[in-house]
Amino acid sequence: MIPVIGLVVGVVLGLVLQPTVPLWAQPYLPIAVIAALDAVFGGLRAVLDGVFSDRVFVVSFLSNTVVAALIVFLGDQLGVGAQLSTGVVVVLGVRIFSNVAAIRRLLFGA
Amino acid sequence: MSAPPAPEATPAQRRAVAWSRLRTALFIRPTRTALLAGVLALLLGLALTVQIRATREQGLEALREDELVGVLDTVEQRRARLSEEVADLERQREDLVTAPAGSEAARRAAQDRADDLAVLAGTVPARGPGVTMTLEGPPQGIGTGVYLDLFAELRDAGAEAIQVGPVRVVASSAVTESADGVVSLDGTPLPARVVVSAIGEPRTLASAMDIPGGLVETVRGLEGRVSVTTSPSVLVSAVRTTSTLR
Repeated sequence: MIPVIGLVVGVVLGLVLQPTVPLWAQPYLPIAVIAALDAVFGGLRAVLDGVFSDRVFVVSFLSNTVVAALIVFLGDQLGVGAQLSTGVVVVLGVRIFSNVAAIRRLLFGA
Repeated sequence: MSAPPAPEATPAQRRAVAWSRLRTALFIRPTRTALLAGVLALLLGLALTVQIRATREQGLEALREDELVGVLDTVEQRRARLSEEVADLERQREDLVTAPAGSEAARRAAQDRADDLAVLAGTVPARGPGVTMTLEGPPQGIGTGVYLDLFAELRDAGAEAIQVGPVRVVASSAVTESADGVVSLDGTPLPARVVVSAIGEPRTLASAMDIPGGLVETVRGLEGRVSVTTSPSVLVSAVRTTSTLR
């Protein structure tokens, strides 16, 4: 429940305050957001499986975003930033899809 | 947290368990990690909206370094071209201003321009380096699309004057196809074997015909035959009369 409230408050804050993305974070924020979404869907699936733990969620959320940003940063330094970002997005996208499919099966049996 | 479903649970029971877990999860249990998770979710919501907004109003600052280099390069080339044009026009202006009485240079410039325009408009014959092509169509004929592609490719390659069969091709030329499949250029029916002459940089024109998916490949794909010969002197003899402008 608290995470849901947090998410709603965050969206409202973003809409009301309209902060701008700091320059240094601009390449990494989109990837970090996707990674965080992956953690959120993984958490939702864990809730439905009855194995959810706040602790695991927090750790996976943080490590997901940090690792995703780190990979993009490393890719930019190596000159393959664009390709590596695409790779990260593809992997996270596949994970999000499989988690959503599991959630759907658990809730609707289909 | 509810107990895991027994292995022999029916799908309906498993579904009920999942729903009840979802309901349970919605109750507020303010532990420290739950609050932390809430803060993280807040940050996610914030980042999501900020990023979506940033993407909508994205300008140059969001581009990567190599993309920016590409943009810069394009601008630089454009600048070089434009400054060349400026220098050209300034020289011309200088000539016109300083020439004795201004008349001779002005007359010459106007005449040059008129000659250029006459060639482009097809009102005078033209001779110059270029290519001559023989197009031999398949039994069912070469379609109008192939002719349009041919003209587009020749013009892209810098052709200044084009003649197809007995007809001069100009900006307003139209390729039409009658009901019985006869292709006409500006009303003149084109034979199955047609000679195309184009004046321009010969090698550029020839390679424009030869590119993959270009004219030569298309016509061969239709089981027709094409030959392209470059020549230092091609005559484009067909002319057309100017219609008065409305």
